[in-house]
Amino acid sequence: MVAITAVASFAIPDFSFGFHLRLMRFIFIFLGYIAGFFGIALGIFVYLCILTNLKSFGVPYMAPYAPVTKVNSNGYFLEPVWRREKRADYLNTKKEKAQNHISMKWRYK
Amino acid sequence: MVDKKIGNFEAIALILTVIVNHVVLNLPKNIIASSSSSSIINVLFISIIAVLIGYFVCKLLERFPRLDILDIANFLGGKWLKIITGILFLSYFLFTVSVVLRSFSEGLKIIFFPRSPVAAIMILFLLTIIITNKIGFQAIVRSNLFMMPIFVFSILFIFFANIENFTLQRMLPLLGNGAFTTFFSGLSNLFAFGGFAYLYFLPPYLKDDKGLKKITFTSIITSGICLLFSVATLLFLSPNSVITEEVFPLYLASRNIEFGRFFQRLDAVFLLIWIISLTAYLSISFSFATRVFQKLLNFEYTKWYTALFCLFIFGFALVPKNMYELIFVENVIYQYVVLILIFGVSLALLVFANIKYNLLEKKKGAVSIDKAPI
Amino acid sequence: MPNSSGENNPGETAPSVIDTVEAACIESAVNLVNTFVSKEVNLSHCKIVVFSEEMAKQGISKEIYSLMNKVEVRPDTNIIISTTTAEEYITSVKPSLENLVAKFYEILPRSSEYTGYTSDIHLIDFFNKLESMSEEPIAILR
Repeated sequence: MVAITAVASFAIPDFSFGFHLRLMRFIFIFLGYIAGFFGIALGIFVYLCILTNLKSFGVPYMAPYAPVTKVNSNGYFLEPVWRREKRADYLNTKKEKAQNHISMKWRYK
Repeated sequence: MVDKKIGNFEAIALILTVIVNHVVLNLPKNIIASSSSSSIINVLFISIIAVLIGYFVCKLLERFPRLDILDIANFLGGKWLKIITGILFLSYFLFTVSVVLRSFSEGLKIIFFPRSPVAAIMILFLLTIIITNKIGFQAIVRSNLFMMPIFVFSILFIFFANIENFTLQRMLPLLGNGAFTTFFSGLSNLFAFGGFAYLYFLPPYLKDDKGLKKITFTSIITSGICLLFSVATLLFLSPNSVITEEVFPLYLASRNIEFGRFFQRLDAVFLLIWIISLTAYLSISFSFATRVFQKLLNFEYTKWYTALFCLFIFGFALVPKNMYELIFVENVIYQYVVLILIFGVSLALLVFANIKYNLLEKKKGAVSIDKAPI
Repeated sequence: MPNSSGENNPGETAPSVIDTVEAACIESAVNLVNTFVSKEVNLSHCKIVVFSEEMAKQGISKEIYSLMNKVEVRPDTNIIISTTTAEEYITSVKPSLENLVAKFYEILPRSSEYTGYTSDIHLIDFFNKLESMSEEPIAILR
């Protein structure tokens, strides 16, 4: 379990995001001490509620999952840059097309 | 209250929560107790009837776009009918919350906390509900949507992981206690689909007006699938006399899962998932209760609703003195409350409102319904 | 009624411990053992439960009920009935191909997949067959 936690903590890209993890770890240990497994489960739920309530620059934090938005080649499977034609749905942009249908015209000629 | 809209998938997850949580508690046990080996046929029959009722409700609600059942009651019978309906639904939500809370806390006490009082576990749940309600309704609904695939997957997983322990002969005799018990008095098992209560209150919150039909059908069919799998698990796993006396049957089914030496005691993971799902269910029911209350009385100062209602729920949840009374409340009283209120009174309200709408339309032409602000 | 249950081996070559306690049922026996043993005896790692044949002839349904009612007992513990007393059976088990006796008990009933002379009976199976009106319970005989 500890190994999985340690490896998972390497998945955080930026160093300043790591403070959040340390604080949360402390809070969850405290909850686990008070009420065991049950406390951790409740802590997870409250944490999830807070996360889904956040908005960064107007975009909800859990964007493709929480309000379910269309995934225009921006989800799990990314297309190469020259094929991404539409902008992401959760941005609510005015112009949805980011580039033309076939942008690399020289490739197909 | 500033109102934010919820989308289609969130509404589906909302209605699914009810059945997922009741399946974890005591619902399949009651179905198996009433129609022993014909439970699967019974569940299929009930699901079909629920789909038909869902279709019926959708057609009835078509005339009143973006109006929930309190506004329809207002249209039908004026202020007093609205108040009566509001009080009925409010007490239904609070009753559900306290019964489910008490039932799950008793189960949790048996498994994890044998030496703590039940009240302590309930207080922890209530504190979580207060905190999440302060955060907001939309956050709860979104986290519910986020975790809903995991909840449904856990129920299906228990079915598929227990296949080697199944004896399929427990399905025979096919019609169990008789065709009358299966099809006619088995109709009372319709109380499993208590999610209709949320459906009546849903129209004002939807982003997409035409989505009500999609939401209804998808959620009812998925609820039926969940119910079918959980009933099948319990039916095939143990004989009748064992199942009807267990406290937390799906948990006991999950303890039989073994995948060799690596995954042992998987039941703790399932319990974690079910605690989260139950907290979501309680928070949602609770926020609906506060909204009904606020709509009835048009208060603007909403700060202390949550604490007051939580105290009320806590008191009500402590009323059953022992397990026997709790089982009576949960099986008998809850069953009839759901059947009478959600499938009886509400359908009658909708039918009469439609009749009145038709009469008024013939007399006057167009009918305008004033919608009370939320 | 004398009562003893299979215990887990703490280490690789540490000897197994046998404590005998006389009590009326499993619950009180575990309680009495807890008074003089330093660690809490929790049956959550119990691999087998051994009953002697003379006790089995008098009926073991009460003990099975009390085992099933405990939350910590795993439903896949094996039930073994020994022709001698239970203590003699446990002391006489010296597996030739294993270091740990617990490992031996864990994989022994799996040999029922390729042999016809034994069977893999778990506590849950035994209990279900006891309660069901159409099946008879069976256990492993040693």
